[in-house]
Amino acid sequence: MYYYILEQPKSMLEKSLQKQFRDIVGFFGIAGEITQESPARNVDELVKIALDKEYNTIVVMGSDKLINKVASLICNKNITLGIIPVNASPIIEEIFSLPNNKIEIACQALKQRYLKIVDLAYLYPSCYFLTSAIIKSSHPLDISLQVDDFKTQIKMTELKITSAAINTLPTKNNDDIEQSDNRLHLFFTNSQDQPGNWQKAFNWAAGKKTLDKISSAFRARKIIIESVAPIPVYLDNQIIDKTPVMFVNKPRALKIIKSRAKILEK
Amino acid sequence: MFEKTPTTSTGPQSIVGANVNLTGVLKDANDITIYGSIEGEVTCQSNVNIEEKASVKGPISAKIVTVSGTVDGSILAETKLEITPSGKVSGSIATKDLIIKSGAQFNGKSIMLKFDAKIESPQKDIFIDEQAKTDKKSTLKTEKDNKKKEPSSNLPTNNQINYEVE
Repeated sequence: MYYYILEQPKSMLEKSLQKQFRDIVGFFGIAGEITQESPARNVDELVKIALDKEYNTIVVMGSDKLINKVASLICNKNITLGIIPVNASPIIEEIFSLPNNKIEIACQALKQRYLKIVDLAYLYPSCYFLTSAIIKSSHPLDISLQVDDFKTQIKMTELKITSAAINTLPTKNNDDIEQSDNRLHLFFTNSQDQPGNWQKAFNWAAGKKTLDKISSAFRARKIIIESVAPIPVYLDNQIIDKTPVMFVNKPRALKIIKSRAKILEK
Repeated sequence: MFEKTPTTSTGPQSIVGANVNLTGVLKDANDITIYGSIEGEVTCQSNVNIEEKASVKGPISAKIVTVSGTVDGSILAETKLEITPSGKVSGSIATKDLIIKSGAQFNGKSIMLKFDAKIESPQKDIFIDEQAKTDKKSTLKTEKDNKKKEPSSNLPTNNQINYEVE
């Protein structure tokens, strides 16, 4: 049986999607205990109740924030995470192979129960996440990066660290459990050094492609970010920490239910 | 026309941006594209592209290496090494397929690897083995030269043949 945690709806669309879910969940044969996040009971308490009742699968219906929160609470335990994405980010869509706001497709995936073990990104001291942590600024910031075996000093306006769950290697054995490449994704750029609109227009008129030579991308197991002044790090539009910070990849930290079919429409 | 600048990355490859200077070892199983500068080693199991105005000071090891910038160090390209007209390489190179285009600059030693050779050891060993071979050849050559210069005491020379006079 599944334990469902529904996010507090913020719009009429989310309310109608939750109503649709309650109506059809029994039809797919995946009925279970349905709970909702509320001021009286927050997510931590709901997950604790599920663990006490020994549910082995928790399904989250909501956005990145709730998905990351529940993933952080149940990782490294023998509990499977399923989702019904509602206004979630493209990263979540890609990891779970589920389109946003499509209840029937998500319920079908939960019924098929195709499992995948994914890595999680870990921000010391206690924050796991599936999506991306972001450092953003309107003006260039001086940052020192230590990435696995190399170091660099950079000026950046945007820096993003994405979990390794987004990349998977082909299955090496006959199991239905896919594996990731065990590396976080690091991306940073300085928008002030990017070619301006006039340069892009000139290139377009001259028939040249405007290549992005300013952005950098790496994959690493460990990333340390330091700066002179503390800079806030955002996850799901909330500040989770300030520099200096260390991100690490936690391999095979979470078991999830993903869809077998790829997303064909957005 | 004013859309977001398209990125050059088409997969999970590593890209060193134009204003980025790395110090240390850069390793990746996928492609590495360098627009900035690296002081240290670059190790890749796929392709390494050093673009124009990029520079690498240190050894590079990959399957296919394309140099359009500056490399100051040894290059080991298992399959192919291409130095484009804007490329400059100072250091030893070892590869199976070498392309140096007109305008490229290359100062160093070149070793052509055999097609059936499997490279298991780091590039240093290849260069050390080759250096040992050339050293051995040079020592043999000097020995031969020395032998020619010094007359042998055992064998009689024309001047030492004793004619019996009756």
